[in-house]
Amino acid sequence: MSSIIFRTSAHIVTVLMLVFSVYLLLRGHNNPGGGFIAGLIAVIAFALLMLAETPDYVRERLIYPPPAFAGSGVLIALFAGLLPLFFGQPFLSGLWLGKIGSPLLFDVGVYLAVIGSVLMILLNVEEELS
Amino acid sequence: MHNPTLKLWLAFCALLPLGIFLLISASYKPPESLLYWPWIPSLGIDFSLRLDGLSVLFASLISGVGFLVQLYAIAYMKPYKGRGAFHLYLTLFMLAMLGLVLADNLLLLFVFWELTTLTSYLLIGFNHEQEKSRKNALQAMLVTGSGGLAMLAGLIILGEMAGTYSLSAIITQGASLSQHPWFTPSLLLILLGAFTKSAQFPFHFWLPGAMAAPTPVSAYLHSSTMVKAGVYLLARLLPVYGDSTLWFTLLCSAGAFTALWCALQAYRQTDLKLMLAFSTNVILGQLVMLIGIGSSYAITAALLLIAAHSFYKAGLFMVVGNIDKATGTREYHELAGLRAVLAISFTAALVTAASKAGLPPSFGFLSKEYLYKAGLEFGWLLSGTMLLANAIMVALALLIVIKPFLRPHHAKAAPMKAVEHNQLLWLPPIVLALLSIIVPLALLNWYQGLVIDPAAEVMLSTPQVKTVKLWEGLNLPLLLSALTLLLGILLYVGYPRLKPRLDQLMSGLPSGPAVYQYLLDAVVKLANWQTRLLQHGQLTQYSLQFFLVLLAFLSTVLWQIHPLPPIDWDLKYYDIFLAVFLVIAAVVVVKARTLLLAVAALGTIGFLTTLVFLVYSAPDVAKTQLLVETLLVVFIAIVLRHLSAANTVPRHSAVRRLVHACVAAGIGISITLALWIITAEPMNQAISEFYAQTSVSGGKGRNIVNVILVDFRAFDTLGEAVVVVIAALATIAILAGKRINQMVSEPPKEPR
Repeated sequence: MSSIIFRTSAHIVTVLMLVFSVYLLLRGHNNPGGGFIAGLIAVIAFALLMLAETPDYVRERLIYPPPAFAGSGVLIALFAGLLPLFFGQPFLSGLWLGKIGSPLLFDVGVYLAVIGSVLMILLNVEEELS
Repeated sequence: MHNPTLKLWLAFCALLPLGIFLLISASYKPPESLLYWPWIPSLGIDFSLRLDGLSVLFASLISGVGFLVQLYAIAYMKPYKGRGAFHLYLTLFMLAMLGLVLADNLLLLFVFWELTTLTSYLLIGFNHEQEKSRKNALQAMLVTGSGGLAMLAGLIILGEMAGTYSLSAIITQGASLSQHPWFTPSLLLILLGAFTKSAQFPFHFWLPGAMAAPTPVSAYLHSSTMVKAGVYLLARLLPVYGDSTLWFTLLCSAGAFTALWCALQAYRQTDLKLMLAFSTNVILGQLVMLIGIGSSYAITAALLLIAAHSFYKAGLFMVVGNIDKATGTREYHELAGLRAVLAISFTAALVTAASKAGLPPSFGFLSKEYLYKAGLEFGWLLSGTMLLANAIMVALALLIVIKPFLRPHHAKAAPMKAVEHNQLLWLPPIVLALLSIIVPLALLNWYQGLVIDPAAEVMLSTPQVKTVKLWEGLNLPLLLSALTLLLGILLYVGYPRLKPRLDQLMSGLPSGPAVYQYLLDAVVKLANWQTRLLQHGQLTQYSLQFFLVLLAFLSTVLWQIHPLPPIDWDLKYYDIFLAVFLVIAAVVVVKARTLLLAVAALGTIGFLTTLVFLVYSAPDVAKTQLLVETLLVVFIAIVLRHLSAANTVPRHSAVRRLVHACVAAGIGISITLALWIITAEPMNQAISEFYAQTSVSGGKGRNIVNVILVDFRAFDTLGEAVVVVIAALATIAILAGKRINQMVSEPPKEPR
């Protein structure tokens, strides 16, 4: 898998897919999309990059280790759930400020949790096998 | 103590109980005060606290003795590592214990009950580098924890019987519950909890085992507070169960037998701390027996004994701790002449031991008088048993004072060093010793008005409170006290001859820890057996078992439905197209000879399923399916890249293939039938219509699937996100475990 065409195009496609995944995340509430799907697309993008390069290459570009993404994702989702408690509403109620609301924050948490977890598995399996 | 943060923390830990003590004294207005805070109202669980005569006795003992123990621990724990954590555990335990005695809700009481079990586990196992500490901490937790679970069942039955979980409401109902068919089960289950916690026979063995804890813990948990939680619960529930004969029989027999049996055990010990531990069992037995009797004399005796015992036993434990500090041993025959270095501790020991022996005018004497009065109302058997147990207490009190302190120091005795320059080591036991004298001499009226009268009012249905007096003239109980002392002295004098006899007699009997260990091993064996049976670690076997169970469930339901409903064969061309291709792909998966072909065919099935979702207009599901399939391809690609040798599908035996084919066919047919039957029913549109209508107004989004995920059912999504993370962590753990296994099975070769 070290063909130069694959490697070059993988870099470009990865970037496009990451942009697309953010787009899906943001439009999810009104159109097909959402945190889970967007997270999976981001993971596939990183997988492509990993196949073209090496796991270490991906790890370096992630800056933070995948478990940090997973953990912060869960914490962000939890925080979005706890936020309404301060406004006298039940756990996980939606809070809205115009078009932006706590459900979006919750979805960002799901997005990060999916990316972190699946990447964790992917990178470790690849490293274990090679 | 050079660390200022630690210093501040220790000061806080010591002053907190004092503050609570003062708060309780200030806010206590007989007969009771209530504090109410709804917690889970739908389940009848409220955070409600109640301060009445009974709880004020326990609460002030917990906070008062807690203050002294914290002070003592500051000095005692100085050489230990992790002192900050030790004080934290001790404080947490104290708060849990306070919650237990103040809770006015049965389930709240249970929560605090279990919290004391947990915190005491941390405290007993504090010296966790020693195996014995860990083992005994676990033993205490398992014994009291399993009793606690039984008690939870009993408390729930009690709450359901009474129709409320509020303790004060249950107590006002009193004995009216006794006609209920569940009365006896609830009584037995609650007794199981109380007996394990208060170390009654046959659960008594965990308490001496808990002596693995540092001495401040023994002085606090295992004499004055935690072990009395069971006694507290029994006293609390006396108005409900007190009139039942079963209650009387069980409590009196268990209590009296525990007292006698553990007195004999205490007589055999050579370690001073163990001696004190077994004699705590004795007092607990006497308390349980007194509550079982439940007369006004018995209740008065119990209320006196609880405080008297807390003072003298905590004091004696501290003295033994000082002996340990000064010499490094607690074996009494190695100790002598300690009066020289432990002069103040000796004074404390003298007074507290006098209270233990029941010498007038100590607090112990007073409680013993009332113990005999209560016992005499029920004949000679109970009084005789108590007489023997108390006589042994006298002998032990003599031994604790005479052997280590009054014998002249000789060459064989352990070397000793002065430790009393640290005033926190001797101040708390001296205070406790003073209390053992001052309360009966000067504060008796005060104690009566503040504790005995209000407590008797909650515990007895017809309170005829006895006015407690130290001196009531010559009577039978006084005579029994004199007899106890005489017998005790005889037992002390005859100790060298009697102890070997007793050892000989009791050595053949099965011991509590041995039975416990046997049961524990049996549980581990059972767990091993079923793990080997079910968790064999073979993926094909797992999926086979899973599908067999599914098949069993499906077929039992499906057999009962006949005839099959008529089916609507309204097929579009793309339905047929999808079905044909799915079947072809499935056949290819099974018949494929190479791994790559099988994987490709499996992927085809996945993508065709995506098409099915699209056809039936579920774009979000289709998208997810598509992405998961893609990801699967990525994973398989990774695996295949590294598994060149295994590129052909292995051939299995004909029998195995036949079994698998049968299961697969069974599942296929069952699912088809299930879908056939389910889709024939008219669909209930209510739920989808609800979401369609409220998605924009309630969730502010037009994508119903996403609104459900992040708003309507966000709690599920949160759980799923956590599950995904856990699955990822488990994968990493498995991979790491594999690496470790390889390292273990293939040790690195020695270089030649």
